[in-house]
Amino acid sequence: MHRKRLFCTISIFLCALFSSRAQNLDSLAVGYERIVFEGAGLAETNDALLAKAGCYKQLGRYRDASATLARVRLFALSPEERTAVQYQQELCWFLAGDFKQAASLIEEVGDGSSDALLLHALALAYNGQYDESEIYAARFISWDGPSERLPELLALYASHPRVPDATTSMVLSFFPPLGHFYNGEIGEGLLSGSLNLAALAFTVANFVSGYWVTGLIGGGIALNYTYMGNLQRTSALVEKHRVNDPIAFGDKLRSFLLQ
Amino acid sequence: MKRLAIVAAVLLAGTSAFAQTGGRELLRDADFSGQIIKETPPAGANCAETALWSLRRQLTGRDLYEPANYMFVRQAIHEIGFIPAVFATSDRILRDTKIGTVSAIPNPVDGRIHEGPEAYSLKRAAGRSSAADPDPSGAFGSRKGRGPACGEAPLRGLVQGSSPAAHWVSQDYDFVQYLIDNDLKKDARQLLFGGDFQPSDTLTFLRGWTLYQLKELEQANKYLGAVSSASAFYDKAFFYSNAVSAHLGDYVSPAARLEAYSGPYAELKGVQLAGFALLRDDPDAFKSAAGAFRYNDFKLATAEHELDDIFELRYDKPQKSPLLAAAASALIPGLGKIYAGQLGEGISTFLITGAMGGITAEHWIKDGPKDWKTIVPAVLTGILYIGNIYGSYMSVSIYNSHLYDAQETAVLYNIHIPLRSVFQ
Repeated sequence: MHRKRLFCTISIFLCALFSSRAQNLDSLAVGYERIVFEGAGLAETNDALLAKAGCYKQLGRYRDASATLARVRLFALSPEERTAVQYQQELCWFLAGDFKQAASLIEEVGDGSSDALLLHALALAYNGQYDESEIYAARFISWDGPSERLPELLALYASHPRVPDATTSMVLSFFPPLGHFYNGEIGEGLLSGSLNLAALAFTVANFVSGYWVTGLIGGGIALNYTYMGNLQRTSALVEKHRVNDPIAFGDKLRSFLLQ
Repeated sequence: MKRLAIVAAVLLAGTSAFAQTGGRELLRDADFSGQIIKETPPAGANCAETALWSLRRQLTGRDLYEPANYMFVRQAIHEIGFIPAVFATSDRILRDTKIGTVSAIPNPVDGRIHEGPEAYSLKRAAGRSSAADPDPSGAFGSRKGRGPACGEAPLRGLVQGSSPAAHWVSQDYDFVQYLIDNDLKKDARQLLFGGDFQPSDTLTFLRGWTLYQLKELEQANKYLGAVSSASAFYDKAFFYSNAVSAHLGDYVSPAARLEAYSGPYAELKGVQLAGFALLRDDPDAFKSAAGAFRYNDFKLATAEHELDDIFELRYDKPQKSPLLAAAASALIPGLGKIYAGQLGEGISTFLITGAMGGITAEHWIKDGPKDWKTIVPAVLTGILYIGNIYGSYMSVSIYNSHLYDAQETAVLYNIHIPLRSVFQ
């Protein structure tokens, strides 16, 4: 019975392999999954999963490829094979845009090849870990010996975006518009500062003129909107820079390293 | 056998090696621009609205309503006229506060409350004030016909030609189940639609079931609805098809099919028929269908009780009067909203209108009624006050609309979820 099933599996696999290319990869992926389902041995299962991940990679389904690679039984592989699989996993996470997951695999992948160094440098840069990234990038361009481009690379890293500190930003935002200025948003900061100043002036002017109700209620509402709004906006700006700046820097680094 | 395994392993390794080349090219071509946080004004915003959008980012507030208030004004003027738009916007401002939105139920997808100017349409309010009115212009009616009626279109592609080498899908049934159970639904779809299978009811069912699992409801409905009554999967496909039709907004044709059903699931038929009766706003049909409720099958009892509760809430309780709500808000700002069931909105309205009234009174006393410092807050207070009355009149309709939406969601849930237990 088992022999018959295996024969059937391989027949289907061969049909899938030699079918037209457009449908090929999707069908192949299913064919490989069938091998896993049919209860193949450990080595065949791993091969099938690797090949299936390869299909997904070719199709641009990097997240699916990473998930498939995560199912590979690493304990059954040699150290070299394990490193290769984990490199592919890191690459797929990176291409899927999950830089944190990609960076988490750096230690397992190690630094045994220039491709690995390149990928580590990029994963760390896109994840906002510039200092660690710089080390891998420098080792990458010096892989074949001392590189003339090293000073240029160091200059690029010297101009990396500053990672805004959420606590500093929050403390500064208590004094509008310092939080905005800290995040590099001068125009928005001036607008926020003007709104807060106007609300404060309105409140004080009413108190000084003896309009207690207007000062207390009207000024209170206005200040609540402008001051609390300043705090919220500063927090949103930190998040925006935390996400956007590493991507912008990573794009620059990528084009530099892949020249 | 060993040789066959070796052949397979070699082929696998070859394909694997082929697939994993070109890492640097992939790195070069990668595009991460989709991950960047972009801040752009709402689509279609004019200069003034863009300026307000820039300003709004610097201010606090719940900002829960969609469209935002500064976008709402223009739409409201266009849809319900200038003066109602002014009052509707002022009512919206009174409601769009922390207290006002405390009991609001935002959309689970984007966390916002979707409420456009149509909520303030007097025509709609009149249609809503009578719960038993089967006017199809209401929210229920507007959903009718949104999706395709079951089986109305020719099911092209359901029955395909097959080559002599094609095999029966029942041979792959376990594999399809394995793919679905292991969250490999896309693989299951690829297998069922890309494989060369003999046409059969099992194939049609598995295709429909896989598409249902992938939440491709329109296509799933076509396949599930096409399973013939001779199939072992007929009952499951039939009831799931009805539930999917309901989610697609078709409440008529599934009810007709259910009436004709004479299979073994009579009580489940009653539950679905009762649900469809509520979705169609047909109390008589509900009473007739609810006759099949037995309340002793644990798989269906909860759904039966909940449908009964919705019926009672909708048809047995007295309807609230928009005029009474307006009169109450004229007497005390916000009271009409509390009467309509919106406590948070009522308190918010009272506090804001009261605060503006207090500011106006202070200036009136100190500066006299003709001073501009009195006139400006007085005009604003007047607009808010009238907006509060107008909003309270409309709030009965808005409340009913929200209630109907919540009930509709509950009904859809109750004609769908019990299927998981029944067809385990």
